[in-house]
Amino acid sequence: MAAVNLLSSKRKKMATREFDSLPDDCWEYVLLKLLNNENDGVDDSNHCLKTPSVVSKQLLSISNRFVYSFTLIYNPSSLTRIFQRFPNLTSLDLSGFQGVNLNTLFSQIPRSVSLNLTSLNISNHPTFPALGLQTILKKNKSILTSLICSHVGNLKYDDMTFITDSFPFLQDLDISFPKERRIGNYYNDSYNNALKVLLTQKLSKLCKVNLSGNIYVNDSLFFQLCMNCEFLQEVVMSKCPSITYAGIASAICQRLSLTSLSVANFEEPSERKNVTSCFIDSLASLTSLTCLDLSFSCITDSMLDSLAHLQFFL
Amino acid sequence: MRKLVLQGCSQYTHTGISYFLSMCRSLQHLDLQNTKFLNDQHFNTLCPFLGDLVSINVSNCDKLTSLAFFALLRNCPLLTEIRMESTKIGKGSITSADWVVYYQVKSLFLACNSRLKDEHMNIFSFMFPNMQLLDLSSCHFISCKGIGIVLKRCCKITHFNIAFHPEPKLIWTNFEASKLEVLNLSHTRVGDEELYMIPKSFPRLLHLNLEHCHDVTEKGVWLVVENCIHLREINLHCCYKVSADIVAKMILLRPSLRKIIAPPDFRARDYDKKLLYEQCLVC
Repeated sequence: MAAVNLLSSKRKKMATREFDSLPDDCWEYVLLKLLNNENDGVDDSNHCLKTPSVVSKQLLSISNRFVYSFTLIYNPSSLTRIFQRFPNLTSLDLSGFQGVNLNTLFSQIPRSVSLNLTSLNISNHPTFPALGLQTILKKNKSILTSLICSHVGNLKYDDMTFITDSFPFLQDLDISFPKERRIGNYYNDSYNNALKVLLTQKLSKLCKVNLSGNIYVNDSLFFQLCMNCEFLQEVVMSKCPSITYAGIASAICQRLSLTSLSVANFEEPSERKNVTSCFIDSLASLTSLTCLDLSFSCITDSMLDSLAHLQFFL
Repeated sequence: MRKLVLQGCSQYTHTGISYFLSMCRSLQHLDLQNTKFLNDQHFNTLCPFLGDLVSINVSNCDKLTSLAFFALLRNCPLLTEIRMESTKIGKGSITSADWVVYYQVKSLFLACNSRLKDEHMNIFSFMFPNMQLLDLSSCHFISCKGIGIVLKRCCKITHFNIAFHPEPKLIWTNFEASKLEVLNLSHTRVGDEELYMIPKSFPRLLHLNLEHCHDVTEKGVWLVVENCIHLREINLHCCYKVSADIVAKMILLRPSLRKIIAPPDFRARDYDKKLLYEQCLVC
């Protein structure tokens, strides 16, 4: 029995030696093939790295290089280990994170660690982690281009200024469904003005923006947004009670390169019925429009007709 | 135009949408959820315009039957995802001409279809050999036999949902769905007997949802955790017969576990917190 064991362990050693003799870039190529082949399923690409990563230490470290995005649900120790393990991590999703406060989580990252984050999701948290983001900002070598803060509680004026001042190169911003506390009219006005000035003038690189569920988003803000953001392509504005179809119509004429527009679910029943032919005509002027969401609105046959006509002649 | 979403829109009729689709034939994603006027006849006339379609949502279009489903399959050679929840699919006869294999179909969301029966499952399992996701939650008239047939034949299924299944004994035997990763048995009447079969039938299980399974005890759960060696997530919310002690034991036994939704009486003890809950989220 002992002899057999010895033999098999010898074989194992030989096998590992052969493994080791292959240089890293060969293995990288193999893994890349594997990823490309398996990546048509329902699940994400990190999934199929699991099996090769348990083969050897070398393969573990190589497969770690292929992890570009990571969803963290829980990690009471620290984020550091994740950044050390995956050197090419560019996208971090903390939308389902539970445990410590995000400010605490980010501040635990030691100075020596440098990050390469380009995309960050901090949705569904009770407060906006401005302090934590400051530490991220200091350590990040790359430029953050995508910030998703959907359903973030208590998104304040200061937070908006922080976003616009700290991440001027944002291409993708989601501030949908803020759970704000209403403190007087003055406060609302200043927030509204801030949104207009900051969002539209400072974030001029925006391509993709989600403003759903923001009561402050009105016609003039959207107009400014379309005017100033020359790269704007995708806009989602469902459940924005202060916006009108007429407003959208005049705004989108300023930015004809829009590819995706979602204006669903007006809460005001009167506005729901007000889908105007003027709005539909302006939609038709968007020559690159590939995605249109008009859920929960009143669309008549003649509107569909004119939309179809204009689509057809493009 | 590649994607059009008209969920719950009112006022337009079949004429309008038909004209639009006839003019705009490159549509890949179409969402007509809650379009109450849509019936089989209407839908049949729309399908020929949908040759490029990849995914469709016609949930809550409660006049659509099997005829619409098959018309869709016949006309859309690229279709991979169909959402047809709360419809009348299952009604209407299926002819032998409809028995065609559709290799491209990967996801079927068919929840709340009370006309679906075992015979349909039998046919579907032949028609969609590459199916990866099947949602049959609240389909009350499919028995465990029908479920067994699908899981046995469609060996590429990774996600399976039969939540709210009313049958008292959901026993499946003698097959192995070796790729199944996500199984939702919430709000069913499964007991320990069924759980004993899980490791054998689904050796690669990653997520198991047993929410509101009132007959499950810690014995059955323990067996699953002991034998499903890849298990990452288990939901025991409102499993009243599962004792809370099992949480700590599960984490010790199965280091792959990352998230546990604990049974009702669970209280984390301080001295466990440091040791156990570092590696696994318990909530």
